[in-house]
Amino acid sequence: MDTEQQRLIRSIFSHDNPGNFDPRGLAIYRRNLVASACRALSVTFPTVEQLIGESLFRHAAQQMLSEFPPTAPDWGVWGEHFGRLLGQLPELESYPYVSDCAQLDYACHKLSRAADCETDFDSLQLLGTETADSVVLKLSECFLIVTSDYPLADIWLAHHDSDQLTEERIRRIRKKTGNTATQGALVYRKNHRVQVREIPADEQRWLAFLQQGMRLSDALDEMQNTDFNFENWLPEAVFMNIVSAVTTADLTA
Amino acid sequence: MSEALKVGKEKPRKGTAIGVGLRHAHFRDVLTAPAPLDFVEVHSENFFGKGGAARAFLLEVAQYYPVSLHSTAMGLGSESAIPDSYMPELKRLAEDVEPCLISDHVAFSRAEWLGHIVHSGDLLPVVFDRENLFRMVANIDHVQKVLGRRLLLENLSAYLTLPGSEMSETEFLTALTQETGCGLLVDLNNLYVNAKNQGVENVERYVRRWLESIPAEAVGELHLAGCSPVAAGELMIDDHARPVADEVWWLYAFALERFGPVPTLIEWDNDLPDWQVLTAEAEKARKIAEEVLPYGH
Repeated sequence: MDTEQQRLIRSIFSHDNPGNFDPRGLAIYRRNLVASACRALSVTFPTVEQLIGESLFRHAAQQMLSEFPPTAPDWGVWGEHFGRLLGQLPELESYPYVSDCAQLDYACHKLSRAADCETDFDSLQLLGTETADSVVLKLSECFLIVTSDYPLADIWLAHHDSDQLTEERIRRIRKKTGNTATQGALVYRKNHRVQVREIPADEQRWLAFLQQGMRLSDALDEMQNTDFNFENWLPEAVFMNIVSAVTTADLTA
Repeated sequence: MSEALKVGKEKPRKGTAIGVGLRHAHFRDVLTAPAPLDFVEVHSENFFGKGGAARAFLLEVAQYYPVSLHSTAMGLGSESAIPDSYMPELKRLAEDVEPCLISDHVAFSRAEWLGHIVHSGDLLPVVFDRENLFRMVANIDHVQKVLGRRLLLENLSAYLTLPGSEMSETEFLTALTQETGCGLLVDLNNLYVNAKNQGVENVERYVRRWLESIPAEAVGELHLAGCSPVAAGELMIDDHARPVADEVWWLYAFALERFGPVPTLIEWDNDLPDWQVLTAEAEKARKIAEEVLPYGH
């Protein structure tokens, strides 16, 4: 037996009106819900909205409300399943990469709200005083990687940096979209600003080794015979808030 | 930040404190364009992220203006419990910002649907009965205990009525204040909208009676807003998309006479105007307050 509150929630989210509520009032709450959902998703998924346009985006938001209604009081945490849902909508078949774009948007949004990360700059001195087999690079939690069969980072940058939206870039994206090479997008945060760049496969492997807690010397050994250059990578990684500290390795491990 | 901006915190004004709702479109303005405001109000949930630009911005604003945290999603009248994650988030935000006021609504916002607790994303009306009174009293007690301070509860604009009320809205609100010691945030536009939507002939008399029916000492804040006109037969929506209506300014003068110099906020959430237009509304409120309640009141 539903309570009055359950009947009202059901009436707002579905097309039923089991509580015989005033249809004019119910219509207002239904419109408010869709408007709030569209607003929340457009904040979290700006690239997707630009890609598919307002009308399709609104349709997707309505589907999202039906399939994955919000369960938390904060609209800002709603949307984890939006990418998956977009990939299943027949209306978006002509946007094969939209699902991956949503994953990247969501990663950006998540990182924009994450706790601030600080780098222990003093600890970086260990790189000058200790040998590579006795130190470990600790990574921060202020970066995320999203991989795709599409040139995600290029698409994202094209939509977020108007200076970058040149004919050449569009041609390059189209060409890459036609290929099936996997591209990784690195999401990082510098001075509270979320940014995205392409991350080569070698760098992804490198970060995975560091995340496993591998000693610096072992990780470097794994990267031999690749294009990865540690000396070039380190200052950029510190600048991008990816490295949080250098610690001495547990030599007994 | 210019010295002129340090009005709210460092140079508190005499008389009624006047503030504006601070929304994303005005984030830059509030820090760069001096405005004679006594406080700003933000929606708590918009700053629940643990870090990032929004949080850093709010902490910067809080250095210059007292901040009121206005929650929209506690759902204190919901049959299901406040989500576990909510209170720690609000408490952490309150500890960081040290708000001048904290408020939410007399509303429910979530219920079970298809086996899950679903959040409506809206402020839904509660039945004014003993069961809901006990539920809200328990929730308010809990929130006030966690926060260690008084909560203000706002009256709703409701677009339908759930059956089964045993008391009037003002009786319900009065009982809440008596049982919990909470305060009231009286939204005059919500009263105006409800009166219009109920087809009340004399709106001013209806609202005056409503205001006279609540304990004056419990009122801790007033909200003023404007809403879009509607065609005959349609329900008026409290969309906070227009300047405050003349009728609501009249009600504001009466409310000040009855409640004294309580903090007053201009809410504008949709079709946002320029910062200067918004702050001019706040100045209008200040002028009325000064006329109704000359300093020394």
